[in-house]
Amino acid sequence: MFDWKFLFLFCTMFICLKTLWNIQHKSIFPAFLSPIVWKIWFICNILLVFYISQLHFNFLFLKLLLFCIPLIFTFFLKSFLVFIWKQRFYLQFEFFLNALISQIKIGTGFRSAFKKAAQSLPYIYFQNYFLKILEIILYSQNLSPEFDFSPLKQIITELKRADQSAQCLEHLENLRHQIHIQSIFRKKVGTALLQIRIQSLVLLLLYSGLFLFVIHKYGLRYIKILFLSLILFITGLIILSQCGRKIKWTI
Amino acid sequence: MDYIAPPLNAVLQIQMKIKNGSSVRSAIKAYTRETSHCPFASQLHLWLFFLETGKEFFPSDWARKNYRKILIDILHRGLKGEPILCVLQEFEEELKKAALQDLEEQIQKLPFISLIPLFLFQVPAFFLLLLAPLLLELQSHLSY
Repeated sequence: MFDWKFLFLFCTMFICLKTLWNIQHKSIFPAFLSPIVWKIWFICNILLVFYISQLHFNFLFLKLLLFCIPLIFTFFLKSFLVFIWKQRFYLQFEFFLNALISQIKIGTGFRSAFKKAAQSLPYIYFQNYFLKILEIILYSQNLSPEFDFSPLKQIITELKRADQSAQCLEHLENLRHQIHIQSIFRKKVGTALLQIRIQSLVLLLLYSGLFLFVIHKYGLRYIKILFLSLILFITGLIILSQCGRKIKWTI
Repeated sequence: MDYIAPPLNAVLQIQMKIKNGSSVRSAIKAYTRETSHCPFASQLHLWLFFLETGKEFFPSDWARKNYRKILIDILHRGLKGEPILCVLQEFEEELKKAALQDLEEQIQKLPFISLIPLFLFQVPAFFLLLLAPLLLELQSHLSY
């Protein structure tokens, strides 16, 4: 007799693995977190799925929903980490730009100043990241996915112009002025958004724990209630995550 | 999310390009090309296109948003050949103040807005999950 349990187990593990692979290889923060964090995360998911597969009940739909929990967590974690990565990137870029301008002011050429400024950054990951940006500027390579997001594209275009221009320092100072004003706004919005994202993540963790506990305790006698509660919670989560997405500028 | 108000972003980018030696027209074109995802940039692109063909384009929301109207006026003057760099620099300061004030107001509202889905959906979901099975169990025990 074919057991649906193994099919779900296989599908969930496959999608989870694919998501994590995407995070590591295609997303914009490949080595930002140590690989060991992802390994621990993956093992936790395996344990969770294994635990779910051990529960004895026959409701196919709910089982499918339960198997989706690791996926929901992975997606939320991913969006949360991308957000934090971007915040860090902008901060590092400000440090970098200041160092680059200082180097050029003391008479270093653009390219060697770029290398020195990149090497002066505190994180090795960002040092390598900026050195890769230099390669893109010098050899006009196509942007790989980790460099392919809108503000960075603009930054690369401006840096290319600065490299090719005789008024390199003025170009960079203008860019710094623009980045500085953007960072004032980003920090203000970022703090408020981080609060909302942490709130949703904590709620998701609490709810998942409670959901598993209720299933463990009562089984599926109250499946309609479980289903209604799940729908309500997911709706709330979606609306909450949409809350801070758009600022309606009145100016 | 647009971290920065579209007119302020436009002023910053156009100003930077003019400082780097571009003409007003090419600065506007470069800004609209590089920020094509922003609705304001698309409107600006259309405005420039209609202006070049001798027609007028004025979206309805520009009438309500005073700063956008002023920016368009400045750019129009720049396209006619007037020097606008100093005007843009002064206007940038004004816009920065207005945008910060606008942002502060929205950030103040955000915690209250985020409470709406929490109280309407998530708290009932928690209570439903916690109390409903407990009450139903209790009811079934009492009925025996």
